[in-house]
Amino acid sequence: MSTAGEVPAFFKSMGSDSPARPRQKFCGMFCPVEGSSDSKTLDFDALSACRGKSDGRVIDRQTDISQPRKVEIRESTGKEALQNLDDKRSDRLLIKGAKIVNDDQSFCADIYMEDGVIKQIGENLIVPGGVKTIDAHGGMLMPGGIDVHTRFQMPDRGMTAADDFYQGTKAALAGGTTMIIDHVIPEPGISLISAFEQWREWADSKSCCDYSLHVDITEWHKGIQEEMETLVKDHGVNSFLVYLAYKDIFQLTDSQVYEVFSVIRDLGAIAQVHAENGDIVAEEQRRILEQGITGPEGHVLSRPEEVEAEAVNRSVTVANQTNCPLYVTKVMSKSAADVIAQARKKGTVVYGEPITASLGTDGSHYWSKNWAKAAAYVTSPPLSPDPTTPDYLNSLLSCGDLQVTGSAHCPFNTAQRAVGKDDFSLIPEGVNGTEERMSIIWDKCVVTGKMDENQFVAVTSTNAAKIFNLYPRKGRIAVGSDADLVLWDPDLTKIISAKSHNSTVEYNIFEGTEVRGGPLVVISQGKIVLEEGNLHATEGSGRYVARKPFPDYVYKRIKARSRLAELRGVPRGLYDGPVCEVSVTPKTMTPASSAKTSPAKQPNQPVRNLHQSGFSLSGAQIDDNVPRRNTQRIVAPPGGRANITSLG
Amino acid sequence: MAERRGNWERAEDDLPVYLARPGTADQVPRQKHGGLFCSVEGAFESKTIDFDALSVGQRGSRTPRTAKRETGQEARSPASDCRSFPGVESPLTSRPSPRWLQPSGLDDRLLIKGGRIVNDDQSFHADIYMEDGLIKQIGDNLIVPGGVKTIEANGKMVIPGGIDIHTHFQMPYRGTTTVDDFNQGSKAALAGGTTMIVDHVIPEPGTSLMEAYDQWRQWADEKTCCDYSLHVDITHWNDSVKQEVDNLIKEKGVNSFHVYMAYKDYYQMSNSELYEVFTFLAERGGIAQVHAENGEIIAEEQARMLQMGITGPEGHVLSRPEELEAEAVFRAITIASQTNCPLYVTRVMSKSAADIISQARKKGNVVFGEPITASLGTDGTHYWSKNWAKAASFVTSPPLSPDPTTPDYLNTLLSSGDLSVTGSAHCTFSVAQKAIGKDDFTQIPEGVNGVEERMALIWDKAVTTGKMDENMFVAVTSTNAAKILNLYPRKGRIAVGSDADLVIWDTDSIRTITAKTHNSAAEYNVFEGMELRGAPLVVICQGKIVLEDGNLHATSGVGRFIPCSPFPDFAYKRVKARKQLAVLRAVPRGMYDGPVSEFSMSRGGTPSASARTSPTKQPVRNLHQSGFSLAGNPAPCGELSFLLEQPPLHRPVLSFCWSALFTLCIQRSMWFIS
Repeated sequence: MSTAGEVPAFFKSMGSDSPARPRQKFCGMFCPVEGSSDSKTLDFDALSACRGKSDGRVIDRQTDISQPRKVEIRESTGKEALQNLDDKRSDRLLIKGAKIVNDDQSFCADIYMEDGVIKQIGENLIVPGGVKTIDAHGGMLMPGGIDVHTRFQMPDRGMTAADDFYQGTKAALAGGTTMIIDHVIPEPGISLISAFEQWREWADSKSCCDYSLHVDITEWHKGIQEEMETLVKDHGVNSFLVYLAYKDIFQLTDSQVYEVFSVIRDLGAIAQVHAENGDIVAEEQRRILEQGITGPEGHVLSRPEEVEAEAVNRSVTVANQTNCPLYVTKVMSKSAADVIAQARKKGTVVYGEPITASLGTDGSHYWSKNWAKAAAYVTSPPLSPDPTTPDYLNSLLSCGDLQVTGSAHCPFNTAQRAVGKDDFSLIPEGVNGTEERMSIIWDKCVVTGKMDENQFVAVTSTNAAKIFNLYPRKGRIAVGSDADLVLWDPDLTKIISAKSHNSTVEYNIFEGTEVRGGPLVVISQGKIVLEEGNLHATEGSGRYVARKPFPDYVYKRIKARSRLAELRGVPRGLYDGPVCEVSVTPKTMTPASSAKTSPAKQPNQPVRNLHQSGFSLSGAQIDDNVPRRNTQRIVAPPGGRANITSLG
Repeated sequence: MAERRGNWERAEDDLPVYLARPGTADQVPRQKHGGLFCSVEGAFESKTIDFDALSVGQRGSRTPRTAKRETGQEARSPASDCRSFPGVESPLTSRPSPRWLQPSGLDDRLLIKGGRIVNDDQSFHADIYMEDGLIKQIGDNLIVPGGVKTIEANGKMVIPGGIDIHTHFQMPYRGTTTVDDFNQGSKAALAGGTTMIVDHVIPEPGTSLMEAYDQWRQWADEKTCCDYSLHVDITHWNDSVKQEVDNLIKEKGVNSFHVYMAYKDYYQMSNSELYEVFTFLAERGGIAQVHAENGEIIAEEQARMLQMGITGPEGHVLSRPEELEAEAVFRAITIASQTNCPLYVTRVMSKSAADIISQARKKGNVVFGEPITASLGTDGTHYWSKNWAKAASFVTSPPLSPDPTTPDYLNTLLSSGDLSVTGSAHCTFSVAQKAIGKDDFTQIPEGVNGVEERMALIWDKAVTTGKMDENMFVAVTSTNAAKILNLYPRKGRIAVGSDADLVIWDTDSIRTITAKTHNSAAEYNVFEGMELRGAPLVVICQGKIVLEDGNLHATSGVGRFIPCSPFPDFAYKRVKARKQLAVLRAVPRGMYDGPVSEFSMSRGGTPSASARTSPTKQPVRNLHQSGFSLAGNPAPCGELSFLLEQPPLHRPVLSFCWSALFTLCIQRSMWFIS
């Protein structure tokens, strides 16, 4: 790896590396990261249509990254130490001398937790004897991260994303994230509820940390609306994602989006949107394939950031019209972020979610000569080729224009990606990032002085909890909150590499990035799951966390506005002047050229849903259907002159 | 009359608020006249409501109307009290006026002496001599034939005649036509100092563009009093339309095409269609004009309004909030920028839409914005008028913004150059026609007047307020339009060889706009009661004096069709340069020969639960359009399966390294050999 930098330039361009992209640091053509397969077996089963076996590989690669410092975990007596193996006992935990960091303030106190819930906060706590104690020595203790956007175990054309719920949540825990919110993607034509239950089943059996679920709306009809109601009322779902991209698969039209948003607002949920103009993307993809560009660079070329910004702008408009709170997933570009920031300035209730990838790396890698590497970055919207984008997004995240961070963790193996080896539009999309999220944000934002530790807590955890109505159960260190905590070490340094990460894929898009800051101890549900670099995750221990509708953080403003937004007509007398008679051209028949109509209103009001409004044409157009009888008649006013009407 | 009105207004203004409300008209302070449903007083005095015009078979029955109107015109002219020429005894001529109207060789020769010529770049004093409808000489002490008719301009401004880039004269609407036909409309244009109009051809969806174009040509050739050109609206899109667009550009002198993002299920185009239209226009050198409003959301909002029981004209503006306009402008700009096509946004009506255009221009997009007379001169508060007929007369799309500061803002952007041209979107309907939608605002035919008021209004709002200078005034009323249409410098400039379309502009004249005196046939004028400084004193069209002393001498049918050629430099120089740069290149890579996962690609039919697809994308690709074919052998059932190619060695990773090593070795050996 390091030798690559020393070979003469002409050599580099020949075999091993791309000349154009100085940022690639490793490996030759199609070689995965060195050593990344050493500790992993390529799972051939996982490549086949049936889902791969989830192995019980022990995580033993963390050892090189963190030398535990400042922390002592001690048990009172040897006897009790033995008892600690007993689950009942280890539910009690005391953290002493920590600096507690919430999104609003930091203070020093001890924390005592029991049964997965924080019971006491303060100094000189009275706790039962024999409690396991962690001495934090003034280290920062923060609420565990909430990764608002993951796609573990996502099915894609018979394949499944490489990380299942077990592998994925383990990676999350290793990075200091103690809760994930995954996306349920019902295939169009499949019921939302059955898809939801399928995801529940997968996650309940495998997840190692608490989780919740967003549900994606991939088609729109009356039945979906009822299912959404059921999901909100009975299944604790309060967020739905719609797609403006993926034409002919998931994409909804503007009218459908309008209706979905109206329903969502009535239900008190959050409208999430995948913002890209699918129509334009489809056209561009065709154009680029026609030009013979089939590699991963075609992916980013066919999805320019303008197309993302346009869709964000459109969804903001629709959300404004419907008075529905909007949540833009995967903010990947400067212009999209700008649109969100502007909309917020105008008062729109909109939230933007940059992801680990957009905050930590850029899209220049799509031009890598190593196909497998370039393909590993494929996600939608794509990473921006502008290398200043991550910095910009970090700035907006720090100033509050963007609020929450997810990872959109959805990695695929190289073999899976290779499905699109001859056509970039077939490459399965998704990048890793759930493990790296907290560290990357700390490194890019807090270390650089863009944000303080409190804002860090806000963007990694608290805001997410507030938006999705989990607060203060999650996202805050307070008495009564869940004992999901992270003891954060700001000095810990590690180099991200596929060799040592917890995901199963061969590539890590942050490969070689050195990050400062990392979790020292991670406590999930009151249990220590990470200490001294060792992960003790238990498969299936994660609980589904139901979320209630109408989160205050979001809906207080919406409610106030909907009270104000009543529109009133102007009371007028009846117009009884002359009325010009019109010929109504039926929509289906091809209009004769003599019956041209204006760009003004269409004769047959296709806009209006007649069976919805009680309105009917008063003009008594009996002769509507007789095409030739379009004679004009002026209803002569009684007065006969200009004063065509009188007050009814 | 004006005085009387003044008193009347004052009296109304003096009313206490509570009295002013219930009785007469006003919820909105800006309405100044008329009671419930009253038309403007006197609006009918000089006009006859033309019953024939309301009939469906417009063509034949229109002729008597024209004659009638002409007499009305004559009768009214002397009585006209609204024009004044303070301190100018122009036009001085060498002949008595009746003779001018007689056709004679000398009539084509005209000399304007002592005028200050104002172009978009500079102003200077010079005389102008024109002959045969062309400007032949400019300068001092011109040598001209004897006996030439001379106009003494006395230092007044001589500007290129205005070009109204957006009109809808004689537009068919559900069996009726707009009340202003090409004769009436172009006469109004001339009266306001506009010597060229560009009308929109609107083919019914499903019908031929070419037929519609011929129809419009026929109407206009018969009746127009000034030169004209045509935009063609693309109301549907398929290969035959594409062919017709191509022909129109190549043979018929049309270089601008208009598409609609509104009017769902009717004119509206999908994003994909827009992309294709724009791509095509960019290839052929056309200008893409766009009616920018999000039709889908409007449709939803309209349904909602009607459900709520709002059926009056206020529903029109409520269902079309300015955000929807801004959103569509943004989308159009995105698509235009993707396709590298110059974009022209018609009818910029709101601040937010204008802002988006100016932002896009700052980012370098080739986009032009066209505010119209109505958006520059008035606002949408009138939609709440208690007088239904008055409220309905303001109905146009996108609607006038209810924000009363909008006109001022748009004038500022026009002055700063962020908005480029001005049109009128003149498309007038009589009250009876508007009343089609008396119980449902979505049925009200859309359109406002403005062709006559355009120049004076911009002068008053932008020049007298000091926002722009006279040169900029010429640019936004004439020159920029000529450049976009590729007519420059034939039109839009006073230069030797240019058409003799000139206006002597009087900066001091003050007149009050009212439906009583305007040249349109409509009963309402959306600028009613507005006092405007600045007016044309003399209008010369095709080298002939058509307006002087407040008398209009327009001749029906003299207007010529001016063909526009494609690739106007003003828009396309930048586009061409970008095209050269925008070549995309693929990254040369070796063949990927590692393992490939198996995947199923199901198309059509309900996919089984196990075959869920990701939010990724395969079906987006239109396989039969791209020359690409899948490498594997496609199974006939539409289910493509990719088998894992098992590499010879057991560890696939090794095979990677192997191939890499192999290539390296080959390259090295090659190197040694050489």
